[in-house]
Amino acid sequence: MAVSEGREERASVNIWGIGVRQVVFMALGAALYAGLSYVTNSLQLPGASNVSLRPGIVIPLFFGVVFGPIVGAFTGGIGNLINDMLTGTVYWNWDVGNAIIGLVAGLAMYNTLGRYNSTVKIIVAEFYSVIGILVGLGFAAYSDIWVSKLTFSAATTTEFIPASLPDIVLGLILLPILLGAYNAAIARTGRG
Amino acid sequence: MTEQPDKPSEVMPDLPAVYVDKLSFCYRSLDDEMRTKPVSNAATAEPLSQPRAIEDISFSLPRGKLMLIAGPSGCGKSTLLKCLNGLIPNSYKGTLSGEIQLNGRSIKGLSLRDLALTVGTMLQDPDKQIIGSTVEQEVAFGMENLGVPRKEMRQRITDVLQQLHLTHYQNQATFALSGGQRQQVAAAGLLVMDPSIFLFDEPFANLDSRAVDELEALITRLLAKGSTVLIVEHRVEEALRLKPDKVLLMHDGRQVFFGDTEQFMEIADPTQVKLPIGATLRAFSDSRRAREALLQPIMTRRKEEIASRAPALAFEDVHFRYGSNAEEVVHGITCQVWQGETIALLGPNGSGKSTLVKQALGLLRPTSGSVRIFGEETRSLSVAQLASRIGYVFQSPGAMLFAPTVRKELSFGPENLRFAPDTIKASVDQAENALNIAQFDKRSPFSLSFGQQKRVAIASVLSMQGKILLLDEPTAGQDYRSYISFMEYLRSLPELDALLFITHDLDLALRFTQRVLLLKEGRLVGDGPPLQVLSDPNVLEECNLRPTSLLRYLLAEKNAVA
Amino acid sequence: MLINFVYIKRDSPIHRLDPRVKFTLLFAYSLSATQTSNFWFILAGFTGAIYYYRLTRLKWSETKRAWYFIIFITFILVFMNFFISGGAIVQGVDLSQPHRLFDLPFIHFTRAFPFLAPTKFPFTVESATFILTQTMRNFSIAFLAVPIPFTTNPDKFGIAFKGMGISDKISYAIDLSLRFLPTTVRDFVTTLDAQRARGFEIDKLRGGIFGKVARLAPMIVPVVIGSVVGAEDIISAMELRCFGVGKRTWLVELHTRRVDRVIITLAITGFAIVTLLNVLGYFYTTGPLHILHTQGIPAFLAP
Repeated sequence: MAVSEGREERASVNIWGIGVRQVVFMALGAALYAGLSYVTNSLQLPGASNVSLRPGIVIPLFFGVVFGPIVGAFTGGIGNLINDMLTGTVYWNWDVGNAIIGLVAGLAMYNTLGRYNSTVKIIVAEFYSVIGILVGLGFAAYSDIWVSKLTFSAATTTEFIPASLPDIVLGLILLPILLGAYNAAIARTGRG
Repeated sequence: MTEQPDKPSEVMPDLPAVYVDKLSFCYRSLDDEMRTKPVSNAATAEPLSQPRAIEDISFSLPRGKLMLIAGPSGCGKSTLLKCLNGLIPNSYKGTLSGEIQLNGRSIKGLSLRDLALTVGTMLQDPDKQIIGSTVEQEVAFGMENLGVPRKEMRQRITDVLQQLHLTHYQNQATFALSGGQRQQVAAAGLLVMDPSIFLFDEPFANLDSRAVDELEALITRLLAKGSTVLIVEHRVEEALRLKPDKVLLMHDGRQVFFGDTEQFMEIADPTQVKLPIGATLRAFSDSRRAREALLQPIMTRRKEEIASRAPALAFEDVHFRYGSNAEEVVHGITCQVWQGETIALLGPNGSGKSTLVKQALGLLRPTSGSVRIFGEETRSLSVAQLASRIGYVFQSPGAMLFAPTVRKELSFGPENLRFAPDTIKASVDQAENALNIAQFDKRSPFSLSFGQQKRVAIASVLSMQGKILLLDEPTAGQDYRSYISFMEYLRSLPELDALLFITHDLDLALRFTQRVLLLKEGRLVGDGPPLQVLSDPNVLEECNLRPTSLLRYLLAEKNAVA
Repeated sequence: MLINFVYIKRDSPIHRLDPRVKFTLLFAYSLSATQTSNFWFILAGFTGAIYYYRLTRLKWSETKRAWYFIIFITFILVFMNFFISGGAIVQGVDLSQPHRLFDLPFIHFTRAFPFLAPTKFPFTVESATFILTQTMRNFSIAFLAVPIPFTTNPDKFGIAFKGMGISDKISYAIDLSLRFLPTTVRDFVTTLDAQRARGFEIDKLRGGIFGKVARLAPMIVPVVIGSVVGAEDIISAMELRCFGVGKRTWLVELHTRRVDRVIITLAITGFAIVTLLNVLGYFYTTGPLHILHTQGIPAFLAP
């Protein structure tokens, strides 16, 4: 791990800005999301009967809350699209849904500026993450009411709940762990 | 070149290519940090690794010359490099004073875009330097960003790939290249921008000897073309083979020495930077004492302590292939590791070193043949069961550290193995003391320096109380001073039956081990005491190992005695 | 573990299409299909999609894993939808006179103990048609979606997004993700090995659901934090080679031919016509302009 210095953070004020930093983190986030999904898909994680655990969900949440809504949206959307490219079919409304997850989680930046050095800020991050998962997967599941002609209750029971419940559990548990580690790591690089 | 601004290289040839006068720099955000937060690590004995500010650096280098910037980690040489390539002050903010002129022109106020046409920087890790997915995309990257038209890009890519004999690789994925090839491709990406000054940041890290040869050829070619080259490197011995014209030695952010290489060799301290053996020998009164000081193989067990007669670890005709259709990568290796031994497993990249030791851990299982630990067949044991018998520390501590505190990190293994709580506490305490990390007990492993993390990684494997320890490239990423003190920690590890290093560092094998296993293309081609195995120059050449000055000296001495 | 995209290098009319055409077709068709449940309309789309898919020359052996997944998902969705909704048929279908074919025995919730009671579940011509339409709809979308990963070289992704009006930086970020992907997967595999060597067993995680999830941290945290910290060097590398200083050119180029432009025009026109018909259908309650709002029950099923 390289020691990095106090690089100017130009986008710390404008959470919607896109500089070289954001481009690199977008790309990293998407690669991590797709990569982790790829690895865990082949691992057969233990989970409740037909619902597989998707630990990758923490990646768009983390990149959203730390680097902002644009990075979060890209991480979720493009990460999921790349995963589609690895599995063989494109469900575009789920790509959009994943983008929304990262986007909404990224709004936590308004309250935290991407620093998570207190419990309150971590709770804020968790809050936005849950909203993100609900809105994002809500969009994906309920858009299938139009795309696949499901009824509302069918979309809820076959798609929305099985998809969002485990994601919320995973996100709520793994996000603070990652934020804690990230905090310690940046304290060393002098940007804490 | 339609869109490029005037090239500053067409200046009077008698001006120095690089001229630095009273350069000082101090990171702003770091200072703020210090002021606002009286940092909590004041209590710890070892300082945090913080980026160095630099103070009062002055030197000048004529065109077409090679300069070495040397010094231990954290001496400020990376900061100096950032001042030269413009990342300071364009990307990193702080207080900058003094003057830098490149080709006779002050770089004050120049943007990265302007500087990129004068200075090409090769970062330490080609994995980070390479941005393109394919070789041609990597070479095109800089030109794309400057808006060079596609037709011209194609032409320039073809030219530069030809120059570096890389045409064959044009459409290959950069990920699949070897370390040396990657460095060449990264160099192509710089050359295509045609800068007149090249900066190399620790280019000898992560390279095996063939790659070092290629790199030397590249630098020689650059110099012959009239380019100016600056190398930042703490592996002074390797860098000196390039015969630099000037050396700048830094310590604690200050310039300790600037002058010719010959003078440098007289003043340099062999305990601080790794020097050729000649310079080291001067520090000792006679050669026998030098030899004793340098060659101290680690003994894990003394003879009288050895109870069991069975080998600690035995490979019996181990063959391995990844999947039934894949090519075989390990072709029948048989060897024993006895209690008390310290062994270096040497061999070029891709010779099967890691593949072989992963068989012992159960991470891979032999296609045929068997591996025994203290006489016990490993095939019937799970990876977790094997983990309590044999410890494997991966090359990068970053690959395994995850816990919120060092103590939890160390308890992770024992907990997985379901040790009793008392045993966990005892073994964690013991491991902490062995590697002197008890002081970081409550800290996050992520807040530690690289060398400290490396010790935590080893301790977290030791805490599982395996009797055999395998270390993958233990010295990679550390400067000479920390490498030596790190090896001394290993010397005093308690309760080990055998210690194996997977490495391509010949000096490590010579100085700290009793036995060398030499691997080539999945076969064992050498087994014996280090000097004996490494004495055949043909074998070294075949295995991509470059004799170091220490090896040459030892061999010469041995022949003189004979 | 090597990362393998499902992309198959081959020469077919679909391989030669500009990637933007494939995306446009998928969007235009799925957005058109959302607007109707008319059997004949969906049948036409289904037939067209099969023809399109045949042009890709993809073999069953290459695509079967993706198709197994699609078949599984479609089956679950269609049948769960049927049973959960009690056989309801979504969107403006003439349900005034359902033609009951037979009844299925089923259970429903009651207010009194034991809260479940047997009931009869009518299976009608209308619901049969709907299930058929719904299945065809899902498969026709899949026939347009599957060729995207299988026939598009991931290298063309960045430039394709650029061509759809996305900014230079974001489009380049797509290329960069593909550059990082194999490194990421390698790092995850290395970390997993490193943790297994410490007795970590991902297939035997202990604890309840919360404990299990927390025990995934050892495989995720090192890779994520390592990449984020290491990103500083990548940022430097990109800045030193002038990324983001101005408008950039792209080495990779898309060859847009006339056929690409024709298909895009047709797809967008088709979508516009369907949308117009759908809107008009609200105003005309009968006749050809109402067609998208009817189920269009085929004669062989009609009672």
